[in-house]
Amino acid sequence: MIVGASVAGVRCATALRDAGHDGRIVLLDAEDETPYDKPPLSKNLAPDDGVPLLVERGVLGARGIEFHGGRPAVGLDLSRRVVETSDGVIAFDDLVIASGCRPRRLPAPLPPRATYVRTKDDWARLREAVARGGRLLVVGAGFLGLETAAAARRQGMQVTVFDVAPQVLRRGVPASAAEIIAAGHREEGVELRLGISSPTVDGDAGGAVVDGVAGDFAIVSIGAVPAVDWLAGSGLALDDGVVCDSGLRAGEGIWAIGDCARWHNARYGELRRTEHWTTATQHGRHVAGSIAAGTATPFGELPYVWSDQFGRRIQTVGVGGDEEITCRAPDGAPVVLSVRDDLVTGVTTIDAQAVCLKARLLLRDEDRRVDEVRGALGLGGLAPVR
Amino acid sequence: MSAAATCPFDHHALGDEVSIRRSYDRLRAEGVVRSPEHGGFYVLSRHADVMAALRDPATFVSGRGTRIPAIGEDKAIPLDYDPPRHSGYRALFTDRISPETVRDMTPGLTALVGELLDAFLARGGGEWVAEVGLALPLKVLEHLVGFSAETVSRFRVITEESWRDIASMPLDEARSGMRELVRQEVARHRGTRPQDYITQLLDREIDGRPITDDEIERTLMTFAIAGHETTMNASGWLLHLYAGDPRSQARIRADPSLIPQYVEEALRFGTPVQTLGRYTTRDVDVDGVTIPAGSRVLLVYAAANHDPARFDHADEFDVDRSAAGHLTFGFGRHQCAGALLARTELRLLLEKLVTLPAIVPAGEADLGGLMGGTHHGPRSLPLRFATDPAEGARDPHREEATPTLVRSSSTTEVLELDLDRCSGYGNCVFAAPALFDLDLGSNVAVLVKDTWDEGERAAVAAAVGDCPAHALRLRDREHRA
Repeated sequence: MIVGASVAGVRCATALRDAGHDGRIVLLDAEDETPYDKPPLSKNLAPDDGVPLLVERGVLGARGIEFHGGRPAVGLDLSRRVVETSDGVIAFDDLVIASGCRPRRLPAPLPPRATYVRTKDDWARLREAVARGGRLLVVGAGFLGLETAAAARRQGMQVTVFDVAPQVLRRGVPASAAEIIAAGHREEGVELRLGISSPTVDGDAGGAVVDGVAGDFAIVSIGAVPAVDWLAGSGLALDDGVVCDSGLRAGEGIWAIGDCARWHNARYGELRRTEHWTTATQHGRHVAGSIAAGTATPFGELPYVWSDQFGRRIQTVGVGGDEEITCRAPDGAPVVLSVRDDLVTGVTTIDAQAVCLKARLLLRDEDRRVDEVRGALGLGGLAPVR
Repeated sequence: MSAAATCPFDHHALGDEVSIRRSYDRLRAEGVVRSPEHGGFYVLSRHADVMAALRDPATFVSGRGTRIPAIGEDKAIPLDYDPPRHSGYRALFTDRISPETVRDMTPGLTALVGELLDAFLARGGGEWVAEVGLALPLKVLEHLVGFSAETVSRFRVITEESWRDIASMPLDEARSGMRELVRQEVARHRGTRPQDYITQLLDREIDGRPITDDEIERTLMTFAIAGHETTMNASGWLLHLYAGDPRSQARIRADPSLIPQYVEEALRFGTPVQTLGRYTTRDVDVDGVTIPAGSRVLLVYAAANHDPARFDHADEFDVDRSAAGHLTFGFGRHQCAGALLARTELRLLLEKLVTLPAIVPAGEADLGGLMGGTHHGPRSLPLRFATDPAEGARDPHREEATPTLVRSSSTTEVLELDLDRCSGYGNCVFAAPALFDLDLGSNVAVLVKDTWDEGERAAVAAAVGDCPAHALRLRDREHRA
């Protein structure tokens, strides 16, 4: 039984079949949609754009995966080993929790001309707004907000981005890379209003207002929180997600994968939660293998995230450090090393995918010395930024 | 000045392309190092350092041998000589491969290249190295030097045997088979005196005295070995890059005026002669390190050619760069005497190829390790001519309605990579490293194998599922469009 049909849950279901699991597989999701891929929600805003499916319904049927859309899980009874759903209970032998995250919300409800961006419905409303044009207000200058800003700007909208932080992407990438990305947005005509005091969204049926700026539509992208409310009181350890061991096990026959899993990442030897697409696919496959084999093996991972803005490909592997070194890739593309104690903890590249891949392979198992990373990636132009 | 760091580098133990690249990256990062292997030698790998040695042939001499290890006193002509002897020996080569003679040879070379490639096309492709890469220089050696077809047909096997032995026995011993072969040619020429270079060589004078039999034989051995190994590897690299990089292939097919710079970049990128040695006559400082007099020094031309301090994005094959300054032919006094001939052959190959259908890989290229600690190029390179208009090269100037697909198949399924969708996220390389790589130039994925087997099915399926760009598809063979 798998709760959540985003990329982690869907990949887990198909990987179970690939691994030879021949028992029943039930895949549940709150949305009544054929499972679709979420990263394009903030990127595909042109009139002809769609959202790619993760899997076709016919394939689910052919592989014996029972998919129930529009049927949210509302509770878990560990003693009876059943999941309570909006439409009755479903018993399980193994439970895979893949319920993901929901948007972090502002204290007040959003006005009509505003949305969070998490579901296909949200995307459809946003795309309609982009088609109408005018000014888009983006609250939150993280990856999601900036991607949406870039995609809307490309479709001809005026765009203003707001954040309480003094810089963009404060959590996602090193400051010097964030500066480069911010400069790119300004060059493209996106207005950045950073360090605002209050990110509230007002408005009426005609438009939205943020920090005194009037717009035609607003999106709110101020982060996400694990969607695990339905597990409250179940007895599972919940602390910024479902707390798991290194094998992604939250209990006997209970597993958590994807955005909602806070697991003991064997690469780092500590509890971490990663809201990245790649982590979700890896989790799904790893747990499928564990269930099929009847064992749990430790899962370690170097985080990897990308973002596409104005045709530029921003990629980060690893985690932040307490020092940044800005270098140049052999072709001149900026590469920022995050460093702690002379060890590279993370690498951020802009339009240098092959360099990023090299970094990802290099740092896969452990942090490496700065000179070693520079040599292996062929980086020049060493210039400490701060 | 300080002593060199120790780095256990062994050019005779570089087994594959990845370990070669990584070793060179490490060497360049270290600077001047000393390897304890083969009795100890210094290694120069940065472009500036290799150039410094080549610009100072009085300090970095060739006369004590250019191979490491140097076993015994045997010498190759003209590689292992310094002036004054070197000058007369080198003329034995430059006289025969002068700009004028190469110009005179060009119509014949054009016809030869045309014959070989037309036959290759008629077969739909094949194994490049044996069928064209080796055949071309062997045929040229028949004409250029006067070796018989029977003689040149034995060069390859004998040469490979010599590379195997060269690190463990004296040069002459390792090359005894080749010596025997050229001796028979000398005898044949003494008997019948055909009008060719070997017959001319019999009557040559060196420094005002008649050439000796030993000198004739050593000269012919150099022609026989250097005359085919290097060109074979150079054209192997050229075609490996041409087939493996559809975008640059499309570029030169659309604009053949790019061919000369394509050749130079392929020469830089591949570097058929990757290393050669020198010997120091005095204490000398290189890059902050003192190399004592009497040291063996290995010049790693290939590492210098990939030095990012000299070539931007050095590990990328970039048709648009100026590859000038590459050290593929060396530099200075000992610069390759056959460089012009090699460049001409490579240019003629491409000029003909761009008039034929696009070329795509037909299997995995075997890049192998360094032969004799020096030579590198594909050992086998299966290629075929594209039959499907969607595969292989596409013209970047033409709008295409259909996606650019490349395919790799098992017995039952076809894996399709849509290059228009691929964004270079690299997850496929993680999931199935045996099948995928990222192209350094274009930052998109490349399928490194044309076929895969059932044992790789799980990795292939994982790569498909892990592709954020939805650029990979797996479908049954019979459904292939």
